[in-house]
Amino acid sequence: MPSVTVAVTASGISKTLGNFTLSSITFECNRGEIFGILGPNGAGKTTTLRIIAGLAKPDSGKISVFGRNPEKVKNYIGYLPEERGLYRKWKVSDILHYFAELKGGANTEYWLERFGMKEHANKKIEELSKGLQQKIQLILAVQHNPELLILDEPFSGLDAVNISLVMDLVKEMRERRRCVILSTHILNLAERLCDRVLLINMGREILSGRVDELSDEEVHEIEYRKNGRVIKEMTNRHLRDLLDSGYDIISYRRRKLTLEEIFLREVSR
Amino acid sequence: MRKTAVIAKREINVNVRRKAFILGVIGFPLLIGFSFLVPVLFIQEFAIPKEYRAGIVDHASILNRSVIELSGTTDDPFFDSSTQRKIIFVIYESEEDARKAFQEGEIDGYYIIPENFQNSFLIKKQTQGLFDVDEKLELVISKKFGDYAYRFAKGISFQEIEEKKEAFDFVISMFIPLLLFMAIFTSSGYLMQGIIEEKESRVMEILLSSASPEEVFTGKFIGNAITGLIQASVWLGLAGLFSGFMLSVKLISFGIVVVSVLFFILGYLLYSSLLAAIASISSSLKEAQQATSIIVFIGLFPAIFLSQITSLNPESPAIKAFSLFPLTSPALMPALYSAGSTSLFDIVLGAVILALTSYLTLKLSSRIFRYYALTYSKPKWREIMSSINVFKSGKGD
Repeated sequence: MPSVTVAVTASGISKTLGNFTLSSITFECNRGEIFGILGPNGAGKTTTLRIIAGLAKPDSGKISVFGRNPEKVKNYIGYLPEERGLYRKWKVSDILHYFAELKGGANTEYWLERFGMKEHANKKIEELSKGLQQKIQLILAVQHNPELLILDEPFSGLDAVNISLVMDLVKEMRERRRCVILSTHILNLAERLCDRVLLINMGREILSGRVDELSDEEVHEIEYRKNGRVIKEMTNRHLRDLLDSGYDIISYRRRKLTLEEIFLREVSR
Repeated sequence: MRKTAVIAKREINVNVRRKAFILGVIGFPLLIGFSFLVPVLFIQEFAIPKEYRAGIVDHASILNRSVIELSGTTDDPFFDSSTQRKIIFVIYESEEDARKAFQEGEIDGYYIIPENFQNSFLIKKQTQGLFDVDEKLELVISKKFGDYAYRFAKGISFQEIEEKKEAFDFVISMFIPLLLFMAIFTSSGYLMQGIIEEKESRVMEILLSSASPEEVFTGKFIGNAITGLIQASVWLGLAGLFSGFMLSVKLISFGIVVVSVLFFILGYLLYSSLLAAIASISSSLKEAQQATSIIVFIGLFPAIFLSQITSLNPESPAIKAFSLFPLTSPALMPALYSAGSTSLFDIVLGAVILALTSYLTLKLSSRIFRYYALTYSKPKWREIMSSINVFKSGKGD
């Protein structure tokens, strides 16, 4: 695999599936970067990720992974689909070794150890809890040490411990100069994790860029007492102005808009 | 190619461990054997006369009596029966007399001992089909040859005057299509079931992120074909053993094996590509099975109905047309070949038509698989027709 910096280049990719159309999506993501594709359910996140993973071809536009057709570099891609499923009657080790063989080799034992799954290696999938099954899915995505890791809604259905596990894994991949692309509709998690994001809605790009540069707009969050009640709201007015107006201020905070707020603002435009 | 091999190996591993496969490999021959032996037992018990009369034309003048009676024997074919049967050998002056007596039903069969018997140890015979008294005659003759008893260690060779093929036409014409039908549909069924299961469990998405749709499709195809071949080989082998040891008839010849394997492979390609296409556009196994039932009926048609007609009139134009028609030829052509009712030209023509049809359906099916393997809702016919346009480029997949 060439050590190019740009991992994925999507240029005007479009695809129609039944009544849904993904329209002219353009982005680029690099090695050592966590890139988030964000949006509500039905926005087109999964379709976009499938195109990157080489599972679907765009109707128009161009997609390349490390400068090549994604179908030709599947061995370098790790993919965690949104809808999880495994061969229920198979042993954990058999499934992992089967997909390792398909990918041309993997460090299965290391990842079993890493995720605390070694003792479950000889159990059948149907004998495992949902949480453990999700860990196996995650191992399947990373065991061959992919250069590009694609995670479709990686936090869905996970408890706090496993969310933390996934977040640590993603950060570790970034440190190892891998490119991670994830989709999620949980925007506050994405905000904490991603370096750059692409916001899409109904198949269309809304906004993209570095998380810390997406909006320079500030909001003023105040908490005040009125007629004996505590009211919390956002305002465009500055603290001096509020005090001059006779507000009984309890707290005041200036902060940037969250991803969720930006998203809601953009959608409503 | 490597990924195709890995997937094929996995398909074989999974299939041979399926209960349905194990039951099929063992259960189907048992079922066939049972359905064949029960009527034989029935015939043996009620249709074989209590007194079996066999004519002998003794050109070597070995037997000096005109009638030889053996009573109290229980030596019936296939199974020992509690029924006591009497065997009577009647000596005839000429073959003409023996044949006339056989045709008029006075005797149940006749044997011709040639003049040079002491050199050849060969006796020609004419019997009604499944039943003979070869061993009894051997016993009678051996008593006359006390000094040469050691020669009987090798045994006497018995040779049919006329091939008793007719007796087995029915068995062959029923057995071969049924066996091929079962082998083709069980292996195609595994392919369909595998695709549906992987779609339903969403494993297909992980699989397709590890290999191309073509590699997945081809691997599954090859793996299931090999499973079917294993199954058919076991059945053909058992049929060969059964016919060789139990019936003393070479039911399965090399030619039958070659033609059967050729039409099995081509028939498998056709039917499994049709079933794979159905699996690709279906969202559940139940939905796929409903659609498959029509195809199964078309495949079953020659095995059940046409085989009856075949045994009556294999030369009829309708039979010939069905033997060339791609959906019915995989089961029918080997049956016609085994009954000696088809020419090499027809076999080659049938194989070419089937191969071309299979190639086309395989190409279409592969396209449908690529398009719909990750679609979990039932597509509209208009969409399917658009996706199978073979002249379209890969875009939109």
